[in-house]
Amino acid sequence: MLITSHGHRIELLPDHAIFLPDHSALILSDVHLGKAAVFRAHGLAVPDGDNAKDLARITKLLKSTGAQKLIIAGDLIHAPESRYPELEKWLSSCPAQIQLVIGNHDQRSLPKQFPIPSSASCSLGEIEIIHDPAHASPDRLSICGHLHPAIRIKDGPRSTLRSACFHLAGTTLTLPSFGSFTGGQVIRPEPEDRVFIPLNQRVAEIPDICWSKRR
Amino acid sequence: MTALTPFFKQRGWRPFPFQKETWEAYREGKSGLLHAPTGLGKTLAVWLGPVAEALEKKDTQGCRVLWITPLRALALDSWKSLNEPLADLDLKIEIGVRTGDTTPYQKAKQKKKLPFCLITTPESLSLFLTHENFRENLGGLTTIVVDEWHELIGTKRGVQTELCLARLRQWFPDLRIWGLSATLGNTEEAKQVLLGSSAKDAVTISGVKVKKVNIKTVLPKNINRFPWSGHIGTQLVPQVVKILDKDATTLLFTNTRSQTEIWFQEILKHRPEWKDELAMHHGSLDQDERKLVEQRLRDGSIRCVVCTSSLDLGVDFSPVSQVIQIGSPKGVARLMQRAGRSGHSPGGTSKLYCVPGNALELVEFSAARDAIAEKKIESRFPLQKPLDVLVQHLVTVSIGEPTAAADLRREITSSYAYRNLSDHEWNWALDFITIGGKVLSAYPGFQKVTTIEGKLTVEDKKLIQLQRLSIGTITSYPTITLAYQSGRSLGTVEESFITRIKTGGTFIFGGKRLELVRFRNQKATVKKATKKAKGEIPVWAGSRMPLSNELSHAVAQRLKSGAIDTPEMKVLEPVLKIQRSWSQVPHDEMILIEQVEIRQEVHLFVYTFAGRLVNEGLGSLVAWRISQGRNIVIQVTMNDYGFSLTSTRNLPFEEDLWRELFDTENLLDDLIACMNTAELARRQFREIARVSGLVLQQLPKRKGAPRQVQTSAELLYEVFQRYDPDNLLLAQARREILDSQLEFTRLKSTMAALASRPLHLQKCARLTPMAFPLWADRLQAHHQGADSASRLEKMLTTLETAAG
Repeated sequence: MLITSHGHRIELLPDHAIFLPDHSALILSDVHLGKAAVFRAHGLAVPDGDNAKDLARITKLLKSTGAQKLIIAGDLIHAPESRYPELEKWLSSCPAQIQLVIGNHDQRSLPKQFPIPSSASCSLGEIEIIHDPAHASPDRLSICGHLHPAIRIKDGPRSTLRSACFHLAGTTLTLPSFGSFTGGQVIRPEPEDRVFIPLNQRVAEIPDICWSKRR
Repeated sequence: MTALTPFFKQRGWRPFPFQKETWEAYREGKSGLLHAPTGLGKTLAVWLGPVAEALEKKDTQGCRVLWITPLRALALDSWKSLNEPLADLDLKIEIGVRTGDTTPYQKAKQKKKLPFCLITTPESLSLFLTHENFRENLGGLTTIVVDEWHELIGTKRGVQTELCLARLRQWFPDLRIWGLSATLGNTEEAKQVLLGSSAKDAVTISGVKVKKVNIKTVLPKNINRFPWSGHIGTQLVPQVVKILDKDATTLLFTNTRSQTEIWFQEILKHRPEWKDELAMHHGSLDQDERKLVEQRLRDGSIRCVVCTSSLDLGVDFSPVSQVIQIGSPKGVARLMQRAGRSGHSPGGTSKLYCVPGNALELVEFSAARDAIAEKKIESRFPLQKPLDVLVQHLVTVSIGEPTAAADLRREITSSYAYRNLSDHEWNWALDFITIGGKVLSAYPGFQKVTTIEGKLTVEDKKLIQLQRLSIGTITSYPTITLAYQSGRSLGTVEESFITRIKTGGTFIFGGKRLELVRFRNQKATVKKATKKAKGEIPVWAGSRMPLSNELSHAVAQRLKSGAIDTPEMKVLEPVLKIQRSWSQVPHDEMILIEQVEIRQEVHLFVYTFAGRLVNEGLGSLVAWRISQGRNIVIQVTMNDYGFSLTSTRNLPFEEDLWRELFDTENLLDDLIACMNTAELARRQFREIARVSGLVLQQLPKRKGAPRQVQTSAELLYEVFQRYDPDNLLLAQARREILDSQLEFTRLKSTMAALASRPLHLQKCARLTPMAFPLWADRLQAHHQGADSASRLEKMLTTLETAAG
């Protein structure tokens, strides 16, 4: 779904990422690589297929969009105990130029020698990409992650369902978390906000009358 | 048993035959199950066996008896009643209590030396198994008594008990295990479940002499003004208050915690002067408050306690002279259990008043009396090999006493629940605890149970601590603590309720009007609201109990016979007459389907007498089958007697079509397709993840949000589905949903029975008395389910169309 915000064209992709056609950039956030390994290290028998699968999803998105840049808006690595031997091989075959915005999880987890260039924030023209929306500037479009936003939708007299969502509030666009082993946090948008969810291979906007007041 | 003579002399009692029989069997070294109604002396029957032995052998040192009680709230009561005979016998025996409430000082003492008799819960017993010196401390254990076994059977805590007993039996092969139970429809099976492979020589003893139960129904003065549906029944409050006037101690049972609050308010409205003689008791109230009420019941200083099933169990309150049941009894055993709480001297009569909430409940009470007379009592079915409980237990025993896998398997399969454990299941469970299930990646890293010198062992101290914290999580649901600003705790409510109340909003809890000050960190702070404030009454989950098979059958038989031979049926006759003249009276040897058209809507009412859970499944299934290939929206509502379908389009009304709709072919697949089982299973996975140790229990000092546990359990479910779809825990979640939410077994047998019943199709001009309750519930109807994405698509399309 292509939307325009503050003069910038943004393509919202159903697989929890966005594409900026004017910059040929694919942006996604909160991959949390190696999360299952952290669980397993603590004696929790969680299956650990997430790394390979999530990296493959990125490859697929790069291919389908033809993006030349890949920006990860933080939290690529889940924890210091994370294991991600798949990453190196994947990097060697990655066709795009990669930039990592350091998220709170990365701060604790990145080893000294990390193969991906990283910085606290990153700009594409007038657009700024940062991890935490709390630090977004009101003067320009900011693309963020961190919150893992999800929306609760009323779909019956007494039933609701929840879904990960893109949340556009003023000049801040918060992306849903990308990692397949990441949870969501239900947000309560303001009436003038816009909310989009991935739905059957496309992205749909959810009008405010569908938002549930419940958390 | 001469050793016991002084005790009986002192009391002027004579032992009942069943008590003597129990002592005999115990003396012969046998195990067994003793079932009898409450208040007949079951406790004495099993307790005096070991006591007499101690007297004769002059052996009162060391731990001899483990007394397992299902609720830790009952432990103290058990302690009192076990101590009682000791004084008369001039016997110094130490009885100790070990539950989650035991102080650290007591625990440290027990770690060194256990008392002669230790009263404990399944969780605490399981915890004991993680202590390496437990076996040694038990030393000469001879006896285990499992109290209120009927409450544990059919639950995961019951399975936990079975597994603990399997270990203890293996440690002490001569162990005598005795279960105490209310009478069940499947008492023999209950015994086998308790004793597992050692059930062969065990005895079943029945406290035959059934206590006299006197059941009276409070009859509405004018049946024409009495509602056909609903469950509050507060019309009858004046009559109930008159019963309470008699100045006796009364237990007033309701079916839900919200009804408790409503009835408490209503009685006070009629008799404000009883402010200090009226109390409330339900599971959400603070423990101290509950204890106070129980104490006042014991000393008879209270007129009436309005309560829920929280007072179903436990040691008797002798002063209680009558019991009132508000609303449907739901089951025969349940009504008997509640009645048994009154008239508590051995040989006394139980007095029970029934208060119907609607016309049909009159039949239920009359039918319950029939079923009691014919001794047709419900069964409690045991759970079959829940794997979450198994993996928890395997880790537990590996901590306490490392065991070789083959030996451990033999021990596990000696329990009833796991007697048919397959190689596949066993190997899966072993993999789960040793290598962390299916391993997809090249890097190891999973650590829990390791094999050292051929024995399964847990070494990591942190893991041991986490495991101890997670034992005992089988039943806890995330609840919110309610407290005054001063910090004084009032009890707990469910999170879903409190999140609906806005700050400053008022609600009623424990008979008090409260205002929400703030809700933060799993704690809701409240203050007293002004007198006039109107408050919402919390609704707790779990009020969907279906009418039991036995009772619905008894109801159907009453309706079929049409006899006007009881006061209830006499009062109800005018209503049944209307039913007969507008349609016919349904029962369970036929199927009645009524069709009514109201305001361009077609309603079908189908009477099955199958209980509300089965009717929910059946209604959804039929609606789904009708809507296949047609563009039609059907609403489904259900109650214990039947279900209704509503649509603006024509619904099938021919016998052939209905026979097809009730066809049992593809039943399971169709049901899975129509009931949204995927979503239900994801929710069910929460408990499984917690019990099997996939979700960590919060550490005591870092009390976090249970919502996080929930999210991650649901997320885990998705992760498993994606990367390990064959994981047996997923299959278990689906099975539990089918069994517990849909009563699949009962549904299947209902459908089989429907096939042979004659079908009566009846067009009606108006809603009949039987149809009315279903029609009145239509606001709570649910639409035919689809998966969430399709539901959402439909919703968005509707919105777009509406927007033009």
